[in-house]
Amino acid sequence: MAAKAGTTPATYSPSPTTNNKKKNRTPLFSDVDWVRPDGRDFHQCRPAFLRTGAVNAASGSAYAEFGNTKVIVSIFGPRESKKAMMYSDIGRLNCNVSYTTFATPVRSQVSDNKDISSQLHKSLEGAIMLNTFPKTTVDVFALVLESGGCDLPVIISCASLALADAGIMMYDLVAAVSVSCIGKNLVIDPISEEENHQDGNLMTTCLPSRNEVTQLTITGEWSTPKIHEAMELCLDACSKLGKIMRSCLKESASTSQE
Amino acid sequence: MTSEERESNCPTIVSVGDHRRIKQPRRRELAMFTDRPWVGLRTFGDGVYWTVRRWCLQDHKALMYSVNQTVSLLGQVIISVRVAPRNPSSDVILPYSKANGSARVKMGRTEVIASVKAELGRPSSSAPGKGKVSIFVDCSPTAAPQFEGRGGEELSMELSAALRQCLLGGKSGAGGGINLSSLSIVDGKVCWDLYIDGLVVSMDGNVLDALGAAIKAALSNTGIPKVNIASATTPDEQPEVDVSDEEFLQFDTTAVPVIVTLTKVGRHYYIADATSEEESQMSSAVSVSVNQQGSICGLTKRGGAGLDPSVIVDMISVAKHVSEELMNKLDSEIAAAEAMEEDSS
Repeated sequence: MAAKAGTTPATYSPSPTTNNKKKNRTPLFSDVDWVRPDGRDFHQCRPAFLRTGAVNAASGSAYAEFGNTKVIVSIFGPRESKKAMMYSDIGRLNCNVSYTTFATPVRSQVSDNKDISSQLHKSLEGAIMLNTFPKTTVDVFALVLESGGCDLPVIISCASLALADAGIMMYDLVAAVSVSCIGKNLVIDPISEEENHQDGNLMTTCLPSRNEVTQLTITGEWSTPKIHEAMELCLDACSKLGKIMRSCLKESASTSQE
Repeated sequence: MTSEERESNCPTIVSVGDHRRIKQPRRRELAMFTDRPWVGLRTFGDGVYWTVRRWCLQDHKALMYSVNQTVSLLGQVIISVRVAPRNPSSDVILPYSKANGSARVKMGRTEVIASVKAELGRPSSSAPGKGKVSIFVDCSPTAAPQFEGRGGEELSMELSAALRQCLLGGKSGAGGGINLSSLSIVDGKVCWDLYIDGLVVSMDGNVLDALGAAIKAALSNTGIPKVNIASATTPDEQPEVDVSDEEFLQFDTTAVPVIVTLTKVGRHYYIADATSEEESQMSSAVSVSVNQQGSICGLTKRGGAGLDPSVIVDMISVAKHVSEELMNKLDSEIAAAEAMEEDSS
């Protein structure tokens, strides 16, 4: 499951002039000498590799690999809610994110799984038609095999792909992208090394075809114009990621028919 | 609640709403239907804003205010008024004397306590020249019966995460309200661990903003003991430190941002400082933390419903306006409470 093996469009990038790396740098980046550790442009995302059907036992599942970040998400259900739950005429979404012990350089470094799980829940719930499965629960279990930066956005995108694979009714796929602010530069899809040095981070999850933002988080100090710029960058990247996710779904549907 | 009671409960007020979307004719219409002194509309910019909300009746069936009833005669869209940032009431910097600093803030019927405790600790190896800050929020069962046992855990977690995000800045420490380097005592050896605990005592909406305000007040009330370092220690040894009981250093809180939550109700309008009644109707809410310079220091969104990107941009600019007012109000309340405390001591 290596990224290179994918015959699907391997890279996506929100800026219109991606192919020409030299011209891509806008005058805004005064700090021209700085090069990203993996040699990407500031506005270039990592190659995305997406596959559905990673886990046979689940009702739907997906595997995503963005550079070194590798994630598996499986969906179970809709199935009966736990007995202790009160009656609900809309369905429930139960999200759980866990990291493998070898996902991080220091063993079991990530401790805040609950926080990530609740963020995943908040990003997805707006996209799912919960009224289509009353009284029942859909479980979303995400496992981060390797953490290489931008974990949450990758988990979210992968989870929405898995939900679609499971046939859960959704208004749209959910695509998520984050941008780091390092010095004066905005860097899209940062790797962990960049995340550790970032001054600020902006993550957007959106429904690309509806042009709706389901979740937006900002940390660090930002001026309003910078937020605009970063949001536009994210939204553009989300719409491109959305297309890749869509083509991945189509591909898996056509192969399963054969 | 009768309409008279309502009326007396509706003080000056208000803010927010999409001032740009309201056109002249609507303004005249409003004047016609609002014979009450506390209903009205002023332009943005003269300091006091009226909250203007339009309810589409099919959109929002519960009419909350008597004004709305007047207006409902029109058969559609209307406007009601309210409560602008319910002022963080003059309550009070309290000496809960076991903590280094503490404050209680009331906004309407929402009441929260924040306490700050400083302990000596070891800096983490990744940031040897910095102290550590942790923020936790506890929801007391006194606020709502469902918080008993583990019931408040989810909300506590959400609030703590939002506060951390809004107050602590990015990973490199840029944009944080608290200067972590100032908490360092000996590089790589000793630093202050700052434990900030929030407690929700009574809940009537907008808890996050109240907690943000309480933390800011508690920090400005925090005295960190002066530390003398015993000299002539070798680099490998843990230096001996002597914590003074008498001398305290005041904590600089000018950079601590305030948090403004805008709650989107119905299709078109958002309210600052929503009560729980209003929060029950929310489709989504955006919390923005803004510092003295007007920069955004953090943002989180609650509620699953999606928002158009342009709406978010709009909400950010409204939040900035509201935050200025809140910041000034809060600063003067903190100063007043500190003066009172000095008088009494």
